[in-house]
Amino acid sequence: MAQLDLLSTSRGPDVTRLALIGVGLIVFVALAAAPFWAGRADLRLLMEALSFLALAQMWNLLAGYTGLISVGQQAYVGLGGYLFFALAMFAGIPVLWAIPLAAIAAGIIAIPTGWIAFRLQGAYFAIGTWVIAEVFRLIAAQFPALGGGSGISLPVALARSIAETRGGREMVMYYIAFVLAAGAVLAVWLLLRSRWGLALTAIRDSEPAAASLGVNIRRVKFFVYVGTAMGTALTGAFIFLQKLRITPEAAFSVTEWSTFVIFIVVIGGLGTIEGPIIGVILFFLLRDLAADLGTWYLIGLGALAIAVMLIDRRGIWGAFRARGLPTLFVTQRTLK
Amino acid sequence: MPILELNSVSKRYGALTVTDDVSFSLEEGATLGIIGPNRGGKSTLFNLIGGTDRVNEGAVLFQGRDVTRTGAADRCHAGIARSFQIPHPFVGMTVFENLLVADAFGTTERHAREDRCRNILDQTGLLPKANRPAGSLTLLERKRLELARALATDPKLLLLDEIAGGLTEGECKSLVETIKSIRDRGVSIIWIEHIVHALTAVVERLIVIDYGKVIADGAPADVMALPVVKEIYLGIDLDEQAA
Repeated sequence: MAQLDLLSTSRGPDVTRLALIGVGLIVFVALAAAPFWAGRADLRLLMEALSFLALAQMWNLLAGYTGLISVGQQAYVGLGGYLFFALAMFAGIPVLWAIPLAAIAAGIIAIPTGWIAFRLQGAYFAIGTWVIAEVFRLIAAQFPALGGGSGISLPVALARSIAETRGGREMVMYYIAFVLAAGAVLAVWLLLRSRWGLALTAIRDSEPAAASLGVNIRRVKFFVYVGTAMGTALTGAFIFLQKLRITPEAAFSVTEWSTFVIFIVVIGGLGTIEGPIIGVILFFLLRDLAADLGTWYLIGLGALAIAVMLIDRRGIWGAFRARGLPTLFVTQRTLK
Repeated sequence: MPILELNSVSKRYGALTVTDDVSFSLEEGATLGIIGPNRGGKSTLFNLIGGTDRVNEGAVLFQGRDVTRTGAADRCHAGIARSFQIPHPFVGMTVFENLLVADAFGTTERHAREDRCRNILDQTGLLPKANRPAGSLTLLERKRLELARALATDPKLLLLDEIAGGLTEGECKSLVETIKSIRDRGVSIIWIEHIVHALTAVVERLIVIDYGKVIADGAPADVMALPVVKEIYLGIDLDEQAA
């Protein structure tokens, strides 16, 4: 505590914070200008990383703040992807409109789904969400028009409708990914700074106390569940627009859309905005370095996640925070 | 009309009966102290009144309205506030933000009122720590935060669970003064406390609970004089303590 006192009275954290903001801004600008400096392969990698950042922010909001540990968010990645394909191919909705519409439709489906999932608590909720995702996968395979079990490709004409040239398409796609990721970070930040943010943080820290002080826990959790389902589906719709092909296995993959996302959040720092950002950077660095190792790479990821949980459960960002590193995304309200 | 009524309330955890057919009522603006041995079911009673836990049998009425099946948040909105015996601070927030939660969700006012929070922090001696993380507070400060948050919900009935334990004589006196001033504003109070002289300085009535049952109910002096109470509080003389 004495150490904290020293930090808050010295000018140290202000300087560190300015440096952090500086780094953050440089990364933001560099990402915003990526199509002008990055090669085609790098751009694809960045797009993927940005999509994972959006997914990680959503999962972090759900698990890190409301304690709803879902291992079934692939339900909404897949749902977003399939609804997008259906809307774009059969309803004739312009591609760029079909993405947000797919998210809204997924949000509507999340209402009864959440109602069922919320009958379950703790570990049962986690397993329940996984079962729900599997059910979604099986249902998705039942539509011959959407390719059944073997999947379907997006017609070339639809992909062309975004932009005529390949370069133009990549530019548009990249900026969608950029807006998705930046939007997810910003949305979570604004939410935490709002009245709802007080409730979410209170629920994270103590549910009995939050309820006794008038926070309607069920309502807050349900709102967050449906909201993150929409954000996840929005990202899912984009991911499969980029892939141009969807299959039930890829769309509802538990490894890809839950395990990796959980890894990112846990390593980076659960219950913080910065954590998922750190986690995504680390995850993609590791993947790049260990791409040739095959299965050993996955075993290594698992071992790393367990190591972080054993050494410091707060994750990388959480551990730094505890040692006095200032926050980048300030949500604290100060009494003047 | 009584502000709170408990009608034959029972709570069991498996084969263990923690609250056993408890009935009592409290008039509006009245103060009630609850004493009894540890693990005798006192805090459970607060869980049942505050809605953190539900009764197995019986009914809880608040201002004449049956709230037996009402959740904790709605009971808070109705006007019941409590402190937890083991403090539950929101450790990731500052002390001030802890109060903002109570102010923004526990009252009908939807916009945070800084001045109100400041006054309550001042009243409970937490103002110098307002912008500190609640996780950095000592146990005594955490207990004060429990009281401050409960007050910030603007309660009609305040449930205090062992907030005087561990205080020095001077701190205890100032806490008694704080609680008296809350009482004088017309807030009804139920206070669980082991420090009997602090309790009797505020409350006009005492209930003794042991093994989940009410074993005595009446004016403090009368209750403390009962053989059964003397047996529990062996060697504690009320007059001597108050002196």
